[in-house]
Amino acid sequence: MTGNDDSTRDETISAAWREASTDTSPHSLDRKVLREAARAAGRTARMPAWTRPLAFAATLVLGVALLLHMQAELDSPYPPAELPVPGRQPATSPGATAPAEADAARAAEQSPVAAPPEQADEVRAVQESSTGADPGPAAGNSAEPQPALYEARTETPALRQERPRDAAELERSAEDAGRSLQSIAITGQQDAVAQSFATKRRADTADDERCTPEQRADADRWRECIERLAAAGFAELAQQEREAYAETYPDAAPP
Amino acid sequence: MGMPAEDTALMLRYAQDGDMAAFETLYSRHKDPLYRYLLRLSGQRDNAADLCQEVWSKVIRARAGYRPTAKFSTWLYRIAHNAFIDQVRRNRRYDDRSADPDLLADPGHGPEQGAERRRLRERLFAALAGLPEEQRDAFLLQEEAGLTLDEIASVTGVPRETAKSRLRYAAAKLRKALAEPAAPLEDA
Repeated sequence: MTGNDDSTRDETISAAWREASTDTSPHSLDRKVLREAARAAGRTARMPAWTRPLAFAATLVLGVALLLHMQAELDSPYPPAELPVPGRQPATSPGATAPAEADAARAAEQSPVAAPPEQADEVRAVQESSTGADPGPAAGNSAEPQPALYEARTETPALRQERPRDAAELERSAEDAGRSLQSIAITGQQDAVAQSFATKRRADTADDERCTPEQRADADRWRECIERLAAAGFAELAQQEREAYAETYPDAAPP
Repeated sequence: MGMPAEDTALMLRYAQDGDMAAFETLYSRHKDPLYRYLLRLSGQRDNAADLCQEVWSKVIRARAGYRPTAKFSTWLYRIAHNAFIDQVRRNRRYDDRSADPDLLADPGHGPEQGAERRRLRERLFAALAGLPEEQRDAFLLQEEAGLTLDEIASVTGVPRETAKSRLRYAAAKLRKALAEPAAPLEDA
């Protein structure tokens, strides 16, 4: 008791009370109360308090690790889906493969990057259109079962979840790459053809424009021929004719 | 040897972690004083046991909302005081405290106890039973629960001076009862 209670406390009465009041609670009551308390404790037993910060820290670490992993995967220049497939077998069915399709399959085997069938078909179509060959029955057969483009990725639940998204992105990138390859091939072929045509045209034109022996027999006509060649832009040919003219007519001034 | 855990800490361990050992320790500390408080208030052993069970059940049910804003004993005896008041209001039969002839028996001692001791016990209990209910309540809270004057005032919901006055009147009447010459005991 505190000091301010001393005025209300009679030590004689308190001592007499402590000696007289010795009743104890019945054991049956104790059992009932403890049983009820145990039932309530079983219903509300929770994890020890120290597990809460541990669970929070573990969640934080796992979340950060997952974010870092996703960031590293996004920053990688080589997506896992484009890794070469070691020991990959060609996905062609014997007997039903056209020669052009076999070529495409061989090209796909030799390529370090597995190309989707749409891309292979587009490249093959460009090649065949440049050579004028029939594209064959396999051209544009996009409903055909696709080769295992994703076989290089280890099959995990996380990758299985990523597959639809990666497949869509990869198809888009493959289409873009195919279109780029097609445009590059067409442009290169067109340039080559145009260059060869220009060369041939220039050679044919130069032969046509070259001065004839009859013209060379007459100094004035040869001179006119050389001037016409120079005026037409055949400078090299005009120079050759001019040198020949100077050798034939050394006393005359060259045109 | 470590210090014994405070009642509040034990109650928090039971309330938050379901620590049954903490509750058993808490119960063992308070079960007998609480029973005696309710026994001397109600005057009936059976009713005291029922009230005790009701009080502890309320403690168990209220564990989730328990906040250590006061001493555990103050909280416990406020529940007990209110439970007794509610029971008195429901049933006025507790006014007849002499209805339990076994109430004066001393369970801790056998028939060999001294006549003077038995006489003192019976006179003390009889004097306590003759006190007004408010004075008896205040006296029991002081002697059985060990509450301070302020805590008694808090439990009973009265000003401190009122509680102090009740304690003084109770002590004076008990002192007078003990000082009076004892009547000869009837042999059992």
